[in-house]
Amino acid sequence: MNDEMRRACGARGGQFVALAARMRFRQLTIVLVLAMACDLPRDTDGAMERARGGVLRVGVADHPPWDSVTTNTVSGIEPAVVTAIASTLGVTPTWRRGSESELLEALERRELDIVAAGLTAASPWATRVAFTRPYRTDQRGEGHVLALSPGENALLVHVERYLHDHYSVKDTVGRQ
Amino acid sequence: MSFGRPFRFPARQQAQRHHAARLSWISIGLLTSTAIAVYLTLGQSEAMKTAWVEDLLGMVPPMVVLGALKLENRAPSERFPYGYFRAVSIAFLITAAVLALAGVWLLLDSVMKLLHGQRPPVGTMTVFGHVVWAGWAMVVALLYCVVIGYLLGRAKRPVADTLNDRALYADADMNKAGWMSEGAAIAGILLIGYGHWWGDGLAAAFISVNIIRDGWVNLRQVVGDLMDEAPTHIGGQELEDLPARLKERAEALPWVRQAAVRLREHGHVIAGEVLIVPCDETDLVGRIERATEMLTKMDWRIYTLTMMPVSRLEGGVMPQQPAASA
Repeated sequence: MNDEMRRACGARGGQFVALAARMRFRQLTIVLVLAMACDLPRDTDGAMERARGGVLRVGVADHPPWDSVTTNTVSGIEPAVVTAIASTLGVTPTWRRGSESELLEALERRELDIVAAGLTAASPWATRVAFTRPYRTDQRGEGHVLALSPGENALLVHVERYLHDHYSVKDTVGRQ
Repeated sequence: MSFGRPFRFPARQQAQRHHAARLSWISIGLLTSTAIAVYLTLGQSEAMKTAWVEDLLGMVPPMVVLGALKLENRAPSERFPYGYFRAVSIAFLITAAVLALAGVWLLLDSVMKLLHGQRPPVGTMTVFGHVVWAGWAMVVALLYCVVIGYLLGRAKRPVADTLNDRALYADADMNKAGWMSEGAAIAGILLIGYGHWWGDGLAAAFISVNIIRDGWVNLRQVVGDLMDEAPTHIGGQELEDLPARLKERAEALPWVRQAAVRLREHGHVIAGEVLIVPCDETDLVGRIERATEMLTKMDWRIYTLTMMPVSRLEGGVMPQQPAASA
């Protein structure tokens, strides 16, 4: 269903008009509603548009092996994931280093778009910021997630699609 | 004449009672399914949470109706000489109180979240291997609830009318409030979809106001019932003219000079007293027994009617519309 919807969204204007001309009013209404609904959800604060425009603010807290942060470098599993997602939007992340709580508070105030801090789905922050679906499991069996600023649902859906397509929660990451 | 006789519902009402019981079982089953559907798609949406709570609460009235239908037909006993008809009212009082309190809690919760500006994250769900926005799943679940609630409410109304069943009537009302607020929740989800985060909280607040209104209306009805309010038209505040008709009928008897009637509702049925001033005391006992029987037949709901001869009626009649009923 979803692929079809995406395909319909991708239809060129001319094709769409030709198609519309052959349809009855009710069918036309349904297609129009679907077409309008294709770009749902939208962000409440435009994170996706900002990312497409070249700005993606990512907070990263030191939490090896998920996130390794030094004064000059950011590396680890999560920065790699975030960089890969950012590249699908044609943007390079702007990293901000900090402690987990400091970054998550900034995220809640929408000063950041994504926080990578080796968070698990069981974190109490789950009700204050938007957690993605778990995409990897640690050795204790906890699913790991990225955190997004709450209400930025277009970006959230984009990130979750990417995670679904490229990672599996069944993969376990060992502690090093 | 005996205190101990069980009430026999007329055939039509008896059939409707079975129908009401069946509808209640169907309600419990379907509302369980809607509650599961909403729970599976719940996410972090405030409106969804509120709709879910309303679904769960919606199961209480049918359960209460079922319990009351079972209990009320028990014959009066030494311990409960007036029978078990009030079971309906008591169970209903609990439901109404729970409804009102839950509504208040949900309203506070959603208003607080609105004031704090909490933005509901709605991510994705995997449906048959496809990643879809969870909002769509919510909308589908809610649409299912709307259809169920609409059909249940519409089916219950006529049954409640024939049975004079306030509990069932309010239950139908609750189904209606339910599907309307689930419609509001759909609007809330779509508003989130369009990036208006306040849509969710606003829809939740609207739903909870609906729940509070339900609770309040039911509370008022049931408190009236427990306060021995005169029979009122179902679904309204207006007093019935049954006491006046009984009085008129009694006074039309050639041996009666004056009559006074008071009635109260016990769940489905009506109980009351008739005072009469006879002008001819020949065969008074026999006449009273026959007159009681005649008056009892005027409305199927009349369960116990006590007729008492008196030498005079002081103060004549009661004020037509006591101010307290407003």
